[in-house]
Amino acid sequence: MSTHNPPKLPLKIFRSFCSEERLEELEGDLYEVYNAFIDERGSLYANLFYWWIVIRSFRSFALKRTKMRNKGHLLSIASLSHNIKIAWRNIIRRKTTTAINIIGLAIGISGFVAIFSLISYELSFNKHLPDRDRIYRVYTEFGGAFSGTNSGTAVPVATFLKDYVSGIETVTHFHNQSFDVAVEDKAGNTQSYSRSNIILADPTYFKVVNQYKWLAGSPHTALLNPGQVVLERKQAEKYFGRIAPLDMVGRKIIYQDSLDVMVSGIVELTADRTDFNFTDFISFKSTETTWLKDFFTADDWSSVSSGWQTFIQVYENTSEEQLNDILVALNQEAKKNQTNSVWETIYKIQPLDDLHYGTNLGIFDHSGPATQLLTLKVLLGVAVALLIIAIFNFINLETAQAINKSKEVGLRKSLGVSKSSLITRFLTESTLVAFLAALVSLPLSFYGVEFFSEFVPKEFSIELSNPLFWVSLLLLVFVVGFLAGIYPAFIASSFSPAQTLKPTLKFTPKSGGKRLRKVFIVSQFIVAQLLVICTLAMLSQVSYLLEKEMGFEDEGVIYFRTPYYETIEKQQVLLNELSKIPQIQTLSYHQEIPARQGWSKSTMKYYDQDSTEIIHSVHQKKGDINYLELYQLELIAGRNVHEKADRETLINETYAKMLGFDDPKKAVGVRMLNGEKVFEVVGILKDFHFQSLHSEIEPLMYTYEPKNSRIIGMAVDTDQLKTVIDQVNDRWDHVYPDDPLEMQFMDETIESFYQTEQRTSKVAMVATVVAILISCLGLFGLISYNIIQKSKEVGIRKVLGASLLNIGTILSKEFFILILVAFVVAFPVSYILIGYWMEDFSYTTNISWWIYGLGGIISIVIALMTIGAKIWKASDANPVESLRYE
Amino acid sequence: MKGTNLGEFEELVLLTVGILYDNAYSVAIQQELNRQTDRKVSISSVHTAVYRLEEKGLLDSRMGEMSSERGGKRKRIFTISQAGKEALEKANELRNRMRNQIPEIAFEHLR
Repeated sequence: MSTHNPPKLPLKIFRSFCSEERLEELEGDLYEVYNAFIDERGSLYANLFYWWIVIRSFRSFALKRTKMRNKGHLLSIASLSHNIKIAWRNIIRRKTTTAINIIGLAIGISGFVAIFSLISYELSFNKHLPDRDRIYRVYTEFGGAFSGTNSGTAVPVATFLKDYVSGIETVTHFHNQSFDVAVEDKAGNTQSYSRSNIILADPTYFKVVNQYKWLAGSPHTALLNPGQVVLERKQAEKYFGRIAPLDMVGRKIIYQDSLDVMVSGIVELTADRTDFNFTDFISFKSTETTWLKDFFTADDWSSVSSGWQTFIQVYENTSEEQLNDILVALNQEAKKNQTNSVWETIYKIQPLDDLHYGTNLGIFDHSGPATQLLTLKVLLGVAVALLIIAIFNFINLETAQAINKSKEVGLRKSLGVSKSSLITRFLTESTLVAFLAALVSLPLSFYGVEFFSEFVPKEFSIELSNPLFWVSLLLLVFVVGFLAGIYPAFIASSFSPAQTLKPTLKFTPKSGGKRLRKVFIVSQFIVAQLLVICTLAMLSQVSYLLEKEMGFEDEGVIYFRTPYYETIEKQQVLLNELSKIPQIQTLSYHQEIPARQGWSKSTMKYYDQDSTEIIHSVHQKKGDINYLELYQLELIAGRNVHEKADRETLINETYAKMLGFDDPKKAVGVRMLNGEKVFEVVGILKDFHFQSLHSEIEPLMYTYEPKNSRIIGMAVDTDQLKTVIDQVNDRWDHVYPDDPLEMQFMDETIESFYQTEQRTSKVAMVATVVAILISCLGLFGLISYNIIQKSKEVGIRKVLGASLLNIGTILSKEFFILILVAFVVAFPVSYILIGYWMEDFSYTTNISWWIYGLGGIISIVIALMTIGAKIWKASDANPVESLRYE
Repeated sequence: MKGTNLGEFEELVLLTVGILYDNAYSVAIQQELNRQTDRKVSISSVHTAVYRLEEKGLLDSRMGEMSSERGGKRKRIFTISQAGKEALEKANELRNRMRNQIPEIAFEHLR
């Protein structure tokens, strides 16, 4: 009777879970049953049947755990301490390998720890607020000629929602403002501060943002009346010193010289990770009797300000439709009160949970920037990649080193130690290494956080006092120890004792694992090369951005703002003073500097020859007549605007072209309308970049308007900078004794446009260095192993007269091939990634092919440096050393 | 291990091992059981039973010779141990004793 072999896959599975003692008999039984079934039903059914019985055999009698011999022994304290002792001795004995292993893993772990801490920090914002799932911020979206979003609303929105819309439990609105604060102490001396975390609010605020412990006063009444202020405890202590909260109540504070209020309550924050980190809460009613009243015109639906925040808390179980109904009612009312026809405001809501992550809207006016969830995801990817590279590295080195353990394995096996306890023993070793790596990684991750301090929020630090941190770290140690150790443990424990213990022959294991090691090396180098190429591309783009001519002069230009609440006459006094300083070459005052992050646009109407109406949304720059001279803006046709001629305007080339003039110069003399006001174009400005290079050049006009021009800019000889600054400071103090002067340099302002890019390239650079470092560690370990393996070959070749170069080539050839393979993969992937990143910019530099080539060359050079010394040593060794064993 | 109490299936397996005498390995036990009881017994149920019986000490075992029918694998041959024999007798005796205690009258209505 001919017999059939059962299908391979289920048999493999069966072998993998079946205990060694039972395997032979059970496999034989299954074989027999399978063949009987073939005779009965044919081979197709039999195959299915075989699968079935393999699955059915997944029971205690077959499973590895039933090995009675090892029961209790496996987990006993004695064997554990024995394992740890042996592991420790091994670690100590193989110093180089251990050091490489620990350093590699420590880098991976520290990156992971730092990034993971940062992510969990960012994700924990506002999570303490009760009912946060039913709190929403109302924000504004503009439609029509004007597009964009604003995190605030018009003033009447909150009142309307409160009075006319059903389905909302609480509506609260507050105004975020920066103020000068004057506090009078008991002796009558006044201390002043400048604060930005101030809001004007009413009692509903504390209902919605329920995160305070009341040390004095009551949430219901403390903001009910005019002249009240509630303070956050820490801020109050800054104002009044460390006195009891109850003693602070009733003290007087003056905001912005004119808003006199009494402390009516002291609160304490119950959580640190909150975006609602306001410190002074002034009762809203206080504004009614002061100059602030003008800011809050109760029926002005058309002015939207991001300072004016509206939040709603809806009832529990409010459905999507009900939420929608609220918005529909609000938007109908908004439309009814619309005063202009050119753009419209549409109100939308943002869940409180998204507040911290909405990069479009931002958080609040005076809070830090919102966190980009995408950035967090990318960071997480980097963290995991680092950890995986480090684990690969460990696996790589350990499998290569497994041969050193062959004697130990052989001896133990012949003494009757089972494979599973050998695996436990090796896993103990890898876990111990992971543990040591974690210890090393702690200072490393602290340094990492320090190094990236400009990235991470100021309040962030790795929480050593949090027990959860230690538990997670320990868990990480076990996971890493297991993942990194399991494969090498299997390899090492599978050696057969008979082979390893033969005294004469040097034991060489089967080539198993060699291919895997190659895969690891290739993937490490793919990551490393990807990072090298992307970093080079980023750096070249960033330097392009910084060096590209913006079209105006930014060097040697200093500017500052004068206080908006002071009169324009006072500013004129300062200007007169400044014009007496001889080192200031040009002096100009204007509303906005030539390039900035934000913008202001107006809708302009133009009728062409056929009387067709052409409407554009046009960027506005306004100021005096010296603007062009200060920033060296070039006119390509016409002339500058005249003083006091507020109907004259200059437009840029782009706008002229959009108006239908192929030759922009011909646009001189045309008229256009803003509402009822007519402007006449008297000059054409050469195009310049008035926004960052992320955006293209859009239509722009410049008009003479001194009214709100609160920026004073001046061109200064760079050698005279110090004296000029001193003199300007001096004059400023004469005119505005109570206000601080904040001078800015134009070129620094432009650099700040590309902060994100500069930061990203910094991260990329560090990640590159780390990835290369880890890959090189792996390479170093592998070359050492290869050299040992090939020592005999090298010896024989030398005896036969091979040159150093020949031998070096033989030893390193394989690695260069691996690096080349990695490059072939890394090249197209990085090309795609770079293209994706570049999409953000309207103006990009050419990433030439040599950047890719350079990426490949750098990795080869570094690899060469890593293995060079080892190879030199090996090729230079006396062949007697390697051959005398035989 | 819970005493020497036998389940019904275990008792059948034990009996089969006895019947087959020196040729009692899992596949043979399965076939004999199928023949004798006219029910479909799967190989893994037999495995479960024989290994448990061995754990209980009711069966002894040794490895047999290898054969090509089994893909060159040896079989494990089971024999009834002293304890196994006692357990069988005890079960048998218990059954008989209890059977004998049923009064004739209990079957009266079946006539």
